[in-house]
Amino acid sequence: MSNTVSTEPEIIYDKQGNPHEVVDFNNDYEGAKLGFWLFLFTEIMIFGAMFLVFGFYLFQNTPEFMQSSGELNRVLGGTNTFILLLSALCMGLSLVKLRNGQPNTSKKFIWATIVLATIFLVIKYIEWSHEIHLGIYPGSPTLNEMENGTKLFFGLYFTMTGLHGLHIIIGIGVMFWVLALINSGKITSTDFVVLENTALYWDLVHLVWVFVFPIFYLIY
Amino acid sequence: MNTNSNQELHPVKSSVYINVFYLLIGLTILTLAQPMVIDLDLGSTLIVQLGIAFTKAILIVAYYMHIKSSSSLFKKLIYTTVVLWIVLYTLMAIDTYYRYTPNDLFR
Repeated sequence: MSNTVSTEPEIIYDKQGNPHEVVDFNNDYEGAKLGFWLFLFTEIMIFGAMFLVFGFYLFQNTPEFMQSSGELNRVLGGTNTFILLLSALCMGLSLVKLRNGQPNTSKKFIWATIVLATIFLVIKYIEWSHEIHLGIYPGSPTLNEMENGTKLFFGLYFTMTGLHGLHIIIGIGVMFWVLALINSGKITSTDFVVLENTALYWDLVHLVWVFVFPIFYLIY
Repeated sequence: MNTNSNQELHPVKSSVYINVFYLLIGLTILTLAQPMVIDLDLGSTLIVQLGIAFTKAILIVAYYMHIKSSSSLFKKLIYTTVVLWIVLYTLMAIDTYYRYTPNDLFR
């Protein structure tokens, strides 16, 4: 590709053969969404592989997995499920409000999502702290003396909820970036694909938890 | 030229989000209530729990991720992914079932 700017306009033709001048290669709404969906599929591959590993070891070590599942705190896990569901609603509504020309309401919903995501992380922190306090964490002497199935269950528990938690942290960071973009007028009611993709990402984070919660907390 | 035309393609309403939210809340309550209400064996628990989870997943992908109102390109992309996912998980399930048995494929 040449570095010099071409003065010739680029022409594309539609199905009827009518020429159209290409004015902008950026701001491609469908392209931006398609690209983001491809990224989401790679996320599904990451978590999907972990679910496969979980399924395999659940089949091999059923009694230990059921016993370990009973030791997790279902009240905290269940509360987090509702919090994430509510946060997904807030994220969706922020997109609706922005598209309806209410950027301030949209920003309030993004703030609500950030607050809910933070509460999710605090609850996760309480859960993990409790387990670590009991001496249960990957590679701990207490866990190493337990059955293989128990080690695998808690290894997968910390890996999968940890990776999910990392996605929540990244999501909060992205939401702050989106707020800055709305403030600087780079996300508007007609150019909202960045917010829409952020909402898609947040829905995926919610979707992963929809499967993580029952398989870890409710198989006792 | 792009976003404006697409805004007309799939308008989204708050009411859709809120109605789906109530459905999802209902399904989440079912998820939590199942072990307390009926004590099932592991196989049945997994069928019930994953059944609810997949119903929630379909609602999230269709309405919260706007696939229901997206162009056919996105719909086909999702269908293809689901088929691929089913194939991979079925292969893995067969391997899991026969592993460490006389029919172990990797013996």
